[in-house]
Amino acid sequence: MSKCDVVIEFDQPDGLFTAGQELTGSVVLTPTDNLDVKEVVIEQVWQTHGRGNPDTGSLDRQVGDGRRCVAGQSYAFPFRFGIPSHPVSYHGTLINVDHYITVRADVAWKRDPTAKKDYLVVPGRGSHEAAIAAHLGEEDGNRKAKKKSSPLLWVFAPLVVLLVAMVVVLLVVVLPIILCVALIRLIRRMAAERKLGKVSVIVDAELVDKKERARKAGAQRGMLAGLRERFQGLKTLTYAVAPGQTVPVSISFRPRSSVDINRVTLVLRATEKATSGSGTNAHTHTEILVNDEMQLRGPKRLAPGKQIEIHSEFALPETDAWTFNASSNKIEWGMRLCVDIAHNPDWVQDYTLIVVPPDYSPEAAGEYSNDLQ
Amino acid sequence: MLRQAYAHLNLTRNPFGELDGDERASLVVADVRDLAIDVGRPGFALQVIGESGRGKTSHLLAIAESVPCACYVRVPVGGRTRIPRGPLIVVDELQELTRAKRRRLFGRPGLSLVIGTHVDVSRELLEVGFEVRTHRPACDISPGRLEEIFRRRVEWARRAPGPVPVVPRHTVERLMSIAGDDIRAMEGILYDALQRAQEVGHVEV
Repeated sequence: MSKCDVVIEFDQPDGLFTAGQELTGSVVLTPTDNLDVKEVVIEQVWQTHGRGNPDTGSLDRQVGDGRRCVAGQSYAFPFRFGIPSHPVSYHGTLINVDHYITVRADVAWKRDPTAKKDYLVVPGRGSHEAAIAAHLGEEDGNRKAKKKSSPLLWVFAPLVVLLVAMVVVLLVVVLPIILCVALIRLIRRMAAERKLGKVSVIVDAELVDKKERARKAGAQRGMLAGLRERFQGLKTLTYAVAPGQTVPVSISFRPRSSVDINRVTLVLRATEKATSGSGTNAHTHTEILVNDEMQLRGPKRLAPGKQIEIHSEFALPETDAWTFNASSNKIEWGMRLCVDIAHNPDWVQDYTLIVVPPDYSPEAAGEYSNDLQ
Repeated sequence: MLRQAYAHLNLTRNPFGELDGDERASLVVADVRDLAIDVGRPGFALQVIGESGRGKTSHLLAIAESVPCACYVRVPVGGRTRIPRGPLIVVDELQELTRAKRRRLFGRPGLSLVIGTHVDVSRELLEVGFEVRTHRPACDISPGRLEEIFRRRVEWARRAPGPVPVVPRHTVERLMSIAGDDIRAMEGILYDALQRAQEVGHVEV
């Protein structure tokens, strides 16, 4: 049986690249029989591997011209790719994100020879913005890692429309349940704030939320503005933070009546979530990477009308567990602030943190401060 | 310091993690030539029965690879899918199709079927005139075969020439005592064991 050795060689042999760099190298084909190679497809991809179903993103692609290859001779096909800003390499417990150059030589009437070689990507200039853009679902700027999409999708477009219609119908059923849950949370929040008064929180970090940014840009208007603002108080806001960054957090409130608080806590949590299988066989594996609880204030009786100010800060640990969100593999970070009120529902606010590489741009000297609620 | 994944084990990845369909098909340790002998003949149906993690999908993918013109389709939960037309259809998770949909599928003229299912549908197939052969992959599981499955997985993830981790016979026997015939559960245990491994050697659980 004929065989064709396919070797991928990088000009930088250690295979370690910084985002924004260039990756150059060549694919060398050495057939044992004469081969008609129609084309050589060289693709730059990222892939996850681990406990979850593999997620893949195609970054770039180059096609080498076909040629007739004589047995025993080597044929080189050079390639040049830009190193992406996002995602960067990560090796965890359940989830690994790696970058590969894959090759497929299209050979007539034979099984196509293939090869794959991994390389490492560490954050560089542009990784900060790219990670935030990926979180917001925006284009990277250079190019966005995109899922492989089948041309069949267009053929089955009417089916997709039908499915969307079914989802809408499902929402009609599910929406009341979601509203009920939100209402219960709102009632709990209002019960807590009847004791504490309006709680305002300042997280001194970069706010990453398109709608919230827009909301802050213009004042709320209209009859429903007050109610909308109340519901928005329940919303989980998202902040971008970098490993090792210290984030000041301030909580202030003025109790309306005498109130006993058991404690005020800040919990920082990070998890890897990997889903394997599908449908009824789907199983989500979870690995807790960080679960740190800080007590900001101990038990205390608070007098009515007296302004309470709690100033604290948390430091994000040095980590390479960057926030990552693919369909079956996720690395999630979050923060929960909780005021534990004796004999009353607790006041709880959740925040999503997206852990991104530091901002290397010159403009990054400016600080972000966002007054919530 | 970031370094190549699993380089300390001379691997490119943990071989007992999840695989995609093509990878799974390429690693099947089953002689499907015998199973596939009548596959493709109109009126013949091969049903592969077993619970989750017993190797049904791997068998089906290997058969689909080995027989020309086979069309593989996996039925999602709820059974909402369109079964393609063709002379040979390989249907995974057939139990998700309603009885009426199954009847419509079985009623197609000149069809040959390979099905993966949790429940025995041979009666339904016989009623419409199919000749049925049933295969239970779990019955083929032996320590030797499992050793070969695990060896092939590790080889597939090899990074460079040289030693790689080995799943020895006593580990296989221990896995069988823990997980019975559930290969997916064994893979989960081996995944964790390899995550803990510091150097190339025997994998212990």
